[in-house]
Amino acid sequence: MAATTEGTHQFRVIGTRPIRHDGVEKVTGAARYGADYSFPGMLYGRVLRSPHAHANIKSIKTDKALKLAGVKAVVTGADLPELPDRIEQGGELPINLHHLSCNILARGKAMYDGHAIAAVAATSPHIAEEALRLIEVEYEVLPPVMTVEDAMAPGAPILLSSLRNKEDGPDKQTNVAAHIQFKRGDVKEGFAKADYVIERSFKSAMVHQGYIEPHNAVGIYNSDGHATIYCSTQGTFVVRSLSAAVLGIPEGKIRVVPAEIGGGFGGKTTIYLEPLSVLLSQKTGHPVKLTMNRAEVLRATGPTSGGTIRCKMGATKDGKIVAAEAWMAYEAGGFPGSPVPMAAMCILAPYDIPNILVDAYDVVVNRPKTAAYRAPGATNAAFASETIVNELASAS
Amino acid sequence: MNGAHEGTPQTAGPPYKRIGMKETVEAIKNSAHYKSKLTGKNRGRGMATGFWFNIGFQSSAMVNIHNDGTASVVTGSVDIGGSRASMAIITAEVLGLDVNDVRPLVADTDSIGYTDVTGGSRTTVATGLAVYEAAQDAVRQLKERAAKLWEKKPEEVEFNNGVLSSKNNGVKPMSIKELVPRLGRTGGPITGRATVNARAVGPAFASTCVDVEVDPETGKVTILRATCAQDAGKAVHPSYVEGQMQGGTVQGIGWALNEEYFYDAKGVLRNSGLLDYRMPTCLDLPMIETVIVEVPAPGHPIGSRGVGEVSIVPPPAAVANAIANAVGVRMTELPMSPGRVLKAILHKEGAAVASAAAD
Amino acid sequence: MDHKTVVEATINGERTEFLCEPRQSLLEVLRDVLGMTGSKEGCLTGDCGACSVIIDGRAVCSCLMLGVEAEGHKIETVEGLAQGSKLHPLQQKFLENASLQCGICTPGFLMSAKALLDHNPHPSEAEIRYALAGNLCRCTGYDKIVHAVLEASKSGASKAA
Repeated sequence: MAATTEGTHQFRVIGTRPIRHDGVEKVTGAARYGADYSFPGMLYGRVLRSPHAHANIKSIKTDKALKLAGVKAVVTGADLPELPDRIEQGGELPINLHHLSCNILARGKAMYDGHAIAAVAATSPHIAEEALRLIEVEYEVLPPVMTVEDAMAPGAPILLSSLRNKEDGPDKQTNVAAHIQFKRGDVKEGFAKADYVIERSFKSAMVHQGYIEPHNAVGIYNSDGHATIYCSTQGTFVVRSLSAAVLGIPEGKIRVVPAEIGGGFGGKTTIYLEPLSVLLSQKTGHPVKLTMNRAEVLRATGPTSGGTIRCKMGATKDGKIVAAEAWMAYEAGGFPGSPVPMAAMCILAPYDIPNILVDAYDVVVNRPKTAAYRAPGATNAAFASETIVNELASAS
Repeated sequence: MNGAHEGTPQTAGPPYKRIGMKETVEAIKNSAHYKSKLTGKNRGRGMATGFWFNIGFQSSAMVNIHNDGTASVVTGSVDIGGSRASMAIITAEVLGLDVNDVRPLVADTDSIGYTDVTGGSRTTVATGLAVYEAAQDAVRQLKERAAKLWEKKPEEVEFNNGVLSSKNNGVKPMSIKELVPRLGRTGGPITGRATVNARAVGPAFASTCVDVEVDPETGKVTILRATCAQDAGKAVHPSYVEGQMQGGTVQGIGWALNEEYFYDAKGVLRNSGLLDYRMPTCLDLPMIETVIVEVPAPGHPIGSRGVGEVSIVPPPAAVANAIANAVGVRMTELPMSPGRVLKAILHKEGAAVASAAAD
Repeated sequence: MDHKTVVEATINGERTEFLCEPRQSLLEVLRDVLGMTGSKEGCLTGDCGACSVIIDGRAVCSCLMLGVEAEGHKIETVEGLAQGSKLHPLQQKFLENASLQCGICTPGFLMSAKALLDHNPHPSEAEIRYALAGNLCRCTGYDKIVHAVLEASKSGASKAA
């Protein structure tokens, strides 16, 4: 494992390999991850999820579930305050609070298979699971829109009726949440100068961060209005501010305690169960622990975008890339916010090219709302640009 | 000649400052892997370079000096991959302590000042900077106390490797451990503190080289060898820097070869389990070789760059380039699962047969 | 509520009695009934190995076994690996080699590796990878884990040695 150094300062400890301070707890099973926490009187929560990719929710009836012995509370989107449709900084990517709240518990519409519809708290996880089956939801199933091509096609079913983008203006309903463009020089002139031009279309599939630890949260609401959340997260302060916003309580009334975390890779920089744990604790007067199972993690957290990239590069005989163009459409999932802006900035970044044009589109589809995944947006982009560069290098 | 270097304008911003992109490519070229010959049928080698930003943003840190001369360092950066050890290392470096005499803690949102997420490859750089400054703040306070005891001005007190002394003679040098019992009478306990909104030190580059073997009958791609070279600026704990490089490379390989969401016609996810959402197992992989390149980041006291992310960026392209060298097909769809690779091979063979027949 | 059964088993060398419902897995019993949260839940379908324990010398996914099935059996979990404050060579080598980053998969790997070394004290790299293929790690890329097991085997970590 050689390291090349460039005349750096001589350090005494920096650059050495001591055994990590939390190592013994981790190898003896003593370290406490979010799901390892337990409190007296604690209840277990579970989330009911949409089996449909795209559906209007006509009604939700919870009375049968509430009657099951051991069930202490059932909540739906109606139990959360309505939030304005505006952008905030949340974790690594900007976020719209209204959409965030809708992702935590659906309001009137299921946007993907696995979308959270309701949550219950009960005296055992098994009873909570049984209670989910007793919640009656009436769906009006709509045709699913699963790919960026389908979503961008003229006449495509509109997923979010209030979604608009700057380019098309306030009167045009659309599935395109944003169009970002970067330009330098003149690509037409650049390509005219090129001796070799390669143009290809690339597709990449939606993938998940794949952390081994599913999401978790234990919420404890005190009667004085203060709440504590124990959870595995990459950002305790993000959990605090976003949970406070979703619940409609002041940020200073929430304390977030970081449990050890079993992997994140960007997927645990937002919230899913945290506000629900506090909400259910508030309704029941007990601590409430929520965990996801693996199917929920894959269906209903934040994988990263698949999408389509069309990339064209031109080089002269002596090997200099003189022009490059990219058209990129990334899946945002059920709500806007794919990493396509970063992808657009990355796709040509390793190279010194005088003429470039990048057009990038953030597209809503009936898949889970995407979240960051280790260098969000860059990997699919590099797949496209680096294979073309490789081809160009062999051609010239 | 096409590689970005200092002064190249970025796609969306100011020109690059000092970066190690070319150095990572050179590191691959000089590696044992690259220098080795790859022989055998249906085998190929591919390389790619990835770019990713490193954010700075806000972090808070406190360094408490204990009554026995040891210390604790408290931050708000959740530890996902061993970062708290790095915080202890930085604190120990500044205070001249043994790394095991510094206890690192990750605190809750009431106990530590605002800290941005552990992500964006920012923890060692930004929280490390806050820790460095908090430790320096503790040193400043230690010097003031020694000065008080020695009846000198703080500027006359020196601190080297955990020992306080004075340029002007007449005082016996004193370790932190020796000073600590006198803190109470010189003003009270010492807590160093710092909050930063760190400037980004500049982006991260990694280059990856993979050797593959493609089974022409099934389309299965086996990774024979993989090497990742990444510019870490200055690796605070090299084992955990290597760990980030290896982990990212393997995630990139999974992304390249097998991972994808399968939705049916109704939009229902059909592979919502870890059997069919196929991530790499240790049986799918060789050892992952790493080369840590160190081109120090300007403007950071340690010179560290963020390392957590960029290693995931090159592998899918490197694998695609390797497949092209192995069996002559250009893959344009991810993942390059056996079915897709086989289809591409058959398509190429079909085209070859067709053109041979046409001749 | 389902009728609970008394189950008796030997856990980490101690005769232990617990109460559980028939529908509770061994993993749930360990974690929620006995408070032994060292074994982790990752998938509940036996695909990730985070819940690995050793039953009568064999590595088993405790999520795939019912609590009531533990009756009369010998169970080893990560909590029993160290002898008092003396770490098992596998635990020591994992720490020295930085074979864990987030650490959630570590208990499972330690138990699978112990089961391997107890039967095969000097495995090759290929044998190690084969034996550990049922344990998923997303952080490390496995490199340092395999190194740790190789080193532990060289330092005579097996029961048989």
